Amino acid sequence: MIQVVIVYWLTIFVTVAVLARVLSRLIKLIAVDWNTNPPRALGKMFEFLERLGLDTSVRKSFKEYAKDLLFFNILLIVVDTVLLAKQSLFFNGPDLPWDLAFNTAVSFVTNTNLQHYAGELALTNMAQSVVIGTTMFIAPASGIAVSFAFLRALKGVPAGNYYRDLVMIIGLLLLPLSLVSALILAALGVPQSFREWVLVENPYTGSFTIRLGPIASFEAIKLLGSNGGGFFGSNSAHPFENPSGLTSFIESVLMLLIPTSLLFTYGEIVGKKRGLSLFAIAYLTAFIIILISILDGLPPLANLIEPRLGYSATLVFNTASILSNTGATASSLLGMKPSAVTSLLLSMFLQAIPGADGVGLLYLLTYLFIVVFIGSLMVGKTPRFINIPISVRIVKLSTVVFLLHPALILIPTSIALLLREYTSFSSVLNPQVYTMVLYEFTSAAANNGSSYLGSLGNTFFWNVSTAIVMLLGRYLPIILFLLIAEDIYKAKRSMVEEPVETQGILFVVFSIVMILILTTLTFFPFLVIGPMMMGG
Amino acid sequence: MRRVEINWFRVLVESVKRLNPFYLVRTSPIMFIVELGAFFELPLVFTPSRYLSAWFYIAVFVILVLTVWFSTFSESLSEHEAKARVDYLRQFEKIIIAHKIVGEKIVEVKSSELKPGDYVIVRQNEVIPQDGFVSDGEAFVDESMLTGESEPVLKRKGDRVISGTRVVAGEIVVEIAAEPGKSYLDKMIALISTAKRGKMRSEVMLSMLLLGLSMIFLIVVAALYFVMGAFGNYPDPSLMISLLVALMPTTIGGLLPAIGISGVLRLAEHNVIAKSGKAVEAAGDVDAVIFDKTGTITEGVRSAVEFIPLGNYSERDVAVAAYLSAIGDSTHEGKSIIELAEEKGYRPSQLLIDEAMVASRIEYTPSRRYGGIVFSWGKGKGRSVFGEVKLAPLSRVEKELLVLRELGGEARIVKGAPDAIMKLLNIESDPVIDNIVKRVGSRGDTPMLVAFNENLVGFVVLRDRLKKGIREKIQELKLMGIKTIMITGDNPYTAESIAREAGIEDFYAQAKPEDKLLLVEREKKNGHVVAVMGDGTNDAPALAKADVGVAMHTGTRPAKEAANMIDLDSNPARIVDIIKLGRSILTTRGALTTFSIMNDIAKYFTILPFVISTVFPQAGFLNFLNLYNTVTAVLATMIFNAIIIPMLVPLAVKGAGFKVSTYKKLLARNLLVYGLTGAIIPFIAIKLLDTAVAWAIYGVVHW
Repeated sequence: MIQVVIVYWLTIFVTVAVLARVLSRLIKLIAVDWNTNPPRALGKMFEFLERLGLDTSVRKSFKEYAKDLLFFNILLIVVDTVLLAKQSLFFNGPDLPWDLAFNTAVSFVTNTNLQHYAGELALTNMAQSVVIGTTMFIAPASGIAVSFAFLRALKGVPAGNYYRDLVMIIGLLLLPLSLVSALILAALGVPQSFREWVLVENPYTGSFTIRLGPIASFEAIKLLGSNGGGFFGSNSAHPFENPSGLTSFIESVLMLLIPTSLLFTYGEIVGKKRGLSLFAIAYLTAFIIILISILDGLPPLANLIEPRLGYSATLVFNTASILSNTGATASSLLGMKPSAVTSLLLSMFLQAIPGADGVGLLYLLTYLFIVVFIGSLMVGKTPRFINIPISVRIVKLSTVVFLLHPALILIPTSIALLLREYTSFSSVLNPQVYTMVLYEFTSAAANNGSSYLGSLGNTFFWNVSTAIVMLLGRYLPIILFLLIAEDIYKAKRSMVEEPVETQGILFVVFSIVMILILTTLTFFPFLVIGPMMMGG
Repeated sequence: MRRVEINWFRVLVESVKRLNPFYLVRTSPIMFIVELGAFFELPLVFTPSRYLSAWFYIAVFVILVLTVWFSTFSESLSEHEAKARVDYLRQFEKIIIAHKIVGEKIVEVKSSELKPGDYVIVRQNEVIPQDGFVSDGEAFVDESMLTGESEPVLKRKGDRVISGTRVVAGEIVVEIAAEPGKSYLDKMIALISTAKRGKMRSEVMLSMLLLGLSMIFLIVVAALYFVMGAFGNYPDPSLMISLLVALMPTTIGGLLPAIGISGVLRLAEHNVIAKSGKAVEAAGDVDAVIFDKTGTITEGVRSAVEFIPLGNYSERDVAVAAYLSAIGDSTHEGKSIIELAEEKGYRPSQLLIDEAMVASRIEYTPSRRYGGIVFSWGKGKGRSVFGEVKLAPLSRVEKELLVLRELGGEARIVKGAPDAIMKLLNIESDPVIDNIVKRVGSRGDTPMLVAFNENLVGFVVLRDRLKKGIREKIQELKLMGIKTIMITGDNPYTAESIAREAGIEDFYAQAKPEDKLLLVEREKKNGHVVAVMGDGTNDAPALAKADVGVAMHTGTRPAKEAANMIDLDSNPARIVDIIKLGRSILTTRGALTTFSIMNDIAKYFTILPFVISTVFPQAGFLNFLNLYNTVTAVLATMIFNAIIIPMLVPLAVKGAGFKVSTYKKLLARNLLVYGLTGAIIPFIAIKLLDTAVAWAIYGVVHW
């Protein structure tokens, strides 16, 4: 059984690698070439935006880029919150309470998609398409945009323009890919309809209604955009979202596709071998996580697991989803074995193997700055990454990125435990409940979105606390990434031999060991108290 | 290298004084947190529990204070050692004694004690002690070290004179105008104090990373405390403090100040003065070195390396003729001809050598461009010597000479520039000769033609030989990934052949003195970190512009002023040692950081099991080391944490992890050595300490 799962995984890896390799060229074209020399149609589009009063100059500074991004994202959160809280006005659905509306808006804009509601009950098709659907395009596009600015910095080019990037990423990358994926999924049985509730006449059990909607298109961007917010509350466990083993495979590939492509895009810009090494670092680490996930065995069927998919396929889907920080799940997490939960938590602690669209690459690069710094010291040189000297500021900012994640997870978790009487969804505290709390904040901080709580989390405390963690977990790193990018852009380049060669086997092994040790050292006690104690 | 005296008492006092938390918070934040933790132990003494007695808290307090003290002790010790070492260097610094005019009397004072407005008298052959103006008298002053102009300059009342220049004739009274430049050694001593020393860039980065890691562990330990509390059992704060101290990178944190000082200390051991701490770091980053050819790569003088015979003569003839003509020649070239001939076993017969000693010499002059020897034997003196010399086989030249001596007559052997010799002998140009001259010249060598009476015997080839050991040093630089560039006034052919012989990558031929600066600028523009050596005033701009400028102690003052390091031994190849030293300071930090981080793995399996298993007995599997109980586990871990610091002091001071090797090999090696030992050693050491502590406290042998 284990061999079958490993072969299944390798099939996913190879499929993703091949597709990503191809896609990476298109992404490089968008990120670099069309940034300054857009094709004519695109140029016309930008001129149109310019005439609308939008500043579309590509020579914006990294700080301006960050400002544009923050402004637009905050605006989007406000609009989404209002639209959801007043759904009856706009989309003829039930009004969401303000705290839930805010949580949901933050959740989707920050590319987290933590859902404290069940989509099929809380939102109408119009709300799903207009509010959730649109946001599901903009959120990953923002992440990818940041990675574009960063890649340009590596190339020594100014940041570009956030709005132009948004147009290009959505129009040229996400929309076409979603269209193709939606068609494939629809062909394989995922419904695509504008009808909302359908009455099913059943002479034996009596008639009942089922919910339909534009699910295939929703599904496509949910997976491609490392979103993970399901149309239905039960997410990809629902037969309409993920009907068969084949769709489960395709969906796993879709989730990993763009983050992996960006690793290769990095290679297109700084050297193919470097891209390949980055891919190796991400995927070998992912493979270690996968091995951990199957330590507790693979029963053919398990409680809370869809028999339609089986435990193994479900585990692979969930792991692929968490590795890519998508957060879609093909089962309730309660059905997962402790080793599987440990590996899911580990991959959210890392959030870079390959991580979410755009930011996954940047987390990985930030880790590598620290790794290269330590490595450079070990060979007796001041640190240098490719042809860029790593400045004091870059080390400082990278350390902050590194520090931020445990802070955003462990501090709120402690607070939630201390305030247990007011917040708890469970009167007892045991490793299982602790894991649920830890998982909730980890998922929020990593902008992952998978959750044990689901609708149980729809209380004021959870809605507000996770919203704050999601906001900090999304925008602080993005700001830090752009500040690092600014430093890299300004750095004096030289063609001197790198003290730590940023490619090759030694670099890959060194990086994996350092990244795993630094992360595991941070979270080990909590993995022990949480998932590792769940079994006994 | 002489050992320096260390005043242990002062080191002790100094290190205890540095336990002051206000000092620590500025110099070593990690140690500050450890000390803070120690003081948190004290109130716990009054709340002993069933498991943890008051003695336990006192023991942890003592160990934690010791941990901090080990760190301050290592810092004080290396500071003290470095100061002693630098003081020892003072004897190398030239001290000029000045004759200061005080009222009617003249007092001898050190030049460093002169102040503006003082008057000094400088007599013939004395050195101007400090910059100033002539207020009385007239003198010729040799300023060649500044200007390169060998003609002495006349200085009259009102003229400016510069320190370090020498009065050749006359006597002047000088009014001192400049403050005494702070002694370079004083500048170096300022680098030793941790508090005052400007931190290097990599040191700042490392401190930041270590502080970041400490913050993470602070959050981890605090979160763990509250989680355990939520599960109904707040752990003893002492355990949490111990866990925090164990996890924080105390090893590297405690040794950082000592490593910082060790750079200055080790430079001083090489007899090198550094004027700024940054220079030491920049030295490690150097990836292009500009060498002067003359005096650095080559000996700067030409030596005979080959004899080329002409016509019917043999190599032995050339050697013998050149040997005889070089007798009594005190120049290096002459001596080297004799050495080469002896080496090849071509010593002429003793009789001829004796004769040559008394023969008349033709001195080499720049206008004549040849020199030699003339034997004149009167007729019929009957010097039959065949009996004496028949033992050794004779060369043709010797035979002819002996025959001439027998018969009486004149014999002349000359050697010199080919064209001068040809002219002397009235020989028209000869293709064979021209060919050899051209061939030898194209190799960068100098041909010297030897003639015996009217016959050309052959050539002596002269070459500016490479200095001993320079090839190996350049090979080392290459292995370290450093570009080597040679600058020379020679023609490109000569330059190329020497560069190739020495293994130098790039050369800059037909350079004018100011080209050195251009070269430094060019390499810097290409993104290189450039090191350059120099001694003349001409070199000063290049020394100032380069990232690492090393002036020779014998050099001029402007050169030393512009440089950021001064080599008291005036050895231009010292730069290689300086670069290695700069690298090794960084590798020491890197190696100990990796060691420190890897240490943490073990610590999760010593203290953590006892924290968690109070609530979760199933977590007992973490204690696979089978440590005896909470008390022994905590004490063993804390003792290990403390004593590892003094145990690594020798590594920190002498440098760890540097070998001349490629980056890749070095990284792999250090990862294996320091990463692996860092992961394994604490497991073994803590297990052993635990057994010892269990035996000491409970009298049980627990394994």
